[in-house]
Amino acid sequence: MALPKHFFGLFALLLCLSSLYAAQPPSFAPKYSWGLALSTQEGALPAESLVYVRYGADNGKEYSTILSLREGGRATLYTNTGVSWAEISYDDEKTPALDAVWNGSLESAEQQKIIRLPSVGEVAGVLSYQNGSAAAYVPVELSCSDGVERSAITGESGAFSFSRVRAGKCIASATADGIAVQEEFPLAMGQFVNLGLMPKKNDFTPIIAALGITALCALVLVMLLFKKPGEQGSQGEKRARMAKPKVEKMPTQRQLDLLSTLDEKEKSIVNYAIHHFPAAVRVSRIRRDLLIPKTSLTRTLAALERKQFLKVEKVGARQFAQLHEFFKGNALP
Amino acid sequence: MEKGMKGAAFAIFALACALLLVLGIGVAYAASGNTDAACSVFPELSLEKGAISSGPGRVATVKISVKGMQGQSCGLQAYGVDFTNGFDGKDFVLAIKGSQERNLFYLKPGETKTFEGLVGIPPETAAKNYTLQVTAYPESDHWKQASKNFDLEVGAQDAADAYWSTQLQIGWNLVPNAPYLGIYGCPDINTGYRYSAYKGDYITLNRYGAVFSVAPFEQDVANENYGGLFVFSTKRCTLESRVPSDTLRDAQVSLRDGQLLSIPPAWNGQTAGKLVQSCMEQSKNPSDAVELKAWDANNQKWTSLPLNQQLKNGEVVRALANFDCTLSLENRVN
Repeated sequence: MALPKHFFGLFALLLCLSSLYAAQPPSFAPKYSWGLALSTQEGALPAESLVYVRYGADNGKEYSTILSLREGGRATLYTNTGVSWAEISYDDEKTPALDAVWNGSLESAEQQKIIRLPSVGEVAGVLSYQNGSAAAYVPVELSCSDGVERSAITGESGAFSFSRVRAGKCIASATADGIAVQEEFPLAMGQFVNLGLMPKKNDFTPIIAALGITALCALVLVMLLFKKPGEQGSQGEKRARMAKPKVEKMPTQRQLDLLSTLDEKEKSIVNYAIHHFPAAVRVSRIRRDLLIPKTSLTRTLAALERKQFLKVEKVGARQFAQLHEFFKGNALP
Repeated sequence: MEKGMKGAAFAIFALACALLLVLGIGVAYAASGNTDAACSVFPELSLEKGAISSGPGRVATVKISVKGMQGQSCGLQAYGVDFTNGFDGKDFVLAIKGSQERNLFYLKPGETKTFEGLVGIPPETAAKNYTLQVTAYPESDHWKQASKNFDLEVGAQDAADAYWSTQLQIGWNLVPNAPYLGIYGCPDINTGYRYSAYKGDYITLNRYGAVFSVAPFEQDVANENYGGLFVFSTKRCTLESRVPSDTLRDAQVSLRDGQLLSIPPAWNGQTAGKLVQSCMEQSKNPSDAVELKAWDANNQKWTSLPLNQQLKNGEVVRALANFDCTLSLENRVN
């Protein structure tokens, strides 16, 4: 029973070591300054938006930094060495997923490089068998407008995910129970699409549904025609019948009370999850957006899980956090 | 014969691996300790002093000791120690040095660990007596907490204090710093980067309450700890410090191989050229040179610093000399 604690400690140590490679400030005595002008399909990236830059130096090392853009999407990247490759990603905090990402070579430091970052989004979902059980360890294919065929294997819970998917029209497909299932959907810039894939045998559902609706309409018509006057309920009763169940806007008073028990860092993470609700947010994204060190975030998330504010789930190699049922108020602790 | 040697070597290697594994499991088990209720006991908490005094903008320190009181059979137990928000805690910026989160640690039975509590006194704090509280508890049962209060006497603002204030832009910003200097504002910023000529790269400083201190995995070099910090801000806010007159007493900085120079109050109004000249007077070779640059946070760019530009108290400039050049932060540059 004692071992896992220490394995967790080892894991925390590894996380700590990896945090050494966090984004660095502008080079102290740069030999090169790379002028960049960044845009997406929607035009120049807004002033003061932040882009994350990873690059490979001539010496074989990898570096990363964050750039704060100025008017026209302009920024200067300072480096001590030549740059053999670079990856620039843009993440608008208003959208649930990474918005645009570019990979390539910066070529010459002498002139400003105009870069149009291709728009991306994120796709995740669950593949189930016909009986509703999870389809574990099954390949799922994704093909989008960039023509790249991607493949992922579902996890134990049938979950799969694809990140940095080129925005546009996409088709997700898989085979479960020996039946092919396919779903076509549009993916917008920074969008997070959650799919539920389930194969259907002899799918007469649309016909049955159409017949059902026709029968229901006929029944309502007959009832209206033959209804005696006075049998009609009051307008109030009718409104009550038609009313949708009341959904309180988040955060509710109960949630605010619960939030008041947290410290500022915990609060900011939960508020971030509320902001993106009902989507699950990637833990790496929380770290990047809220600028929380990895070790500290891991600990804080563990505390929030324990307190039943958030639940953290692993999908493939990625961790997602979303509001816990207890905090949402849908279930008892 | 050779085959036999190989076999023996393999057997020794396998045995060593097995021994290491057994040893690892043993250490892990011993380290985990016993989590029985009987081992969840109140720790012994003691403070170095019952009362401390300081002034607005300063950082007071208090030594906190925690002793593990569990029985011998319990082995290592996890404990936590922290300031609480009780009494006047909310009025101050409180932290334990070395811990940015809940401060958790392991104690053997009877073992004592000492921590440095940092009490940041915001510049606008009124002069009067305050009460602060520290709590230690076993991780397995937070209710078994030992608490100690201490008095903090905050005096009046010292008129001799200098003032450093930096309006942060969205992106990278340079902020002046000195050892144990209280930096207030922008609570979201919890990391700073200082250039270390010794390392030839930036080193990371963690923010513990009101103090930026070198992260545990970095090497602290004494003559570099007056260097300014690069901080990344995602919003506009102001970082400010009161600089007591003794903070920069006898402070010497070396510009050899580079320094992010926090301009001290004594240099206010002096020109960049005067700084270069003072450095060049220590030069021995014609190839020696000093280069000054400023970080333009508005445009997120390095810009060159004209020699006739007047330096301002609290600004940070990038100074790079290729020879030994040492300047005093306490006095005006001659």
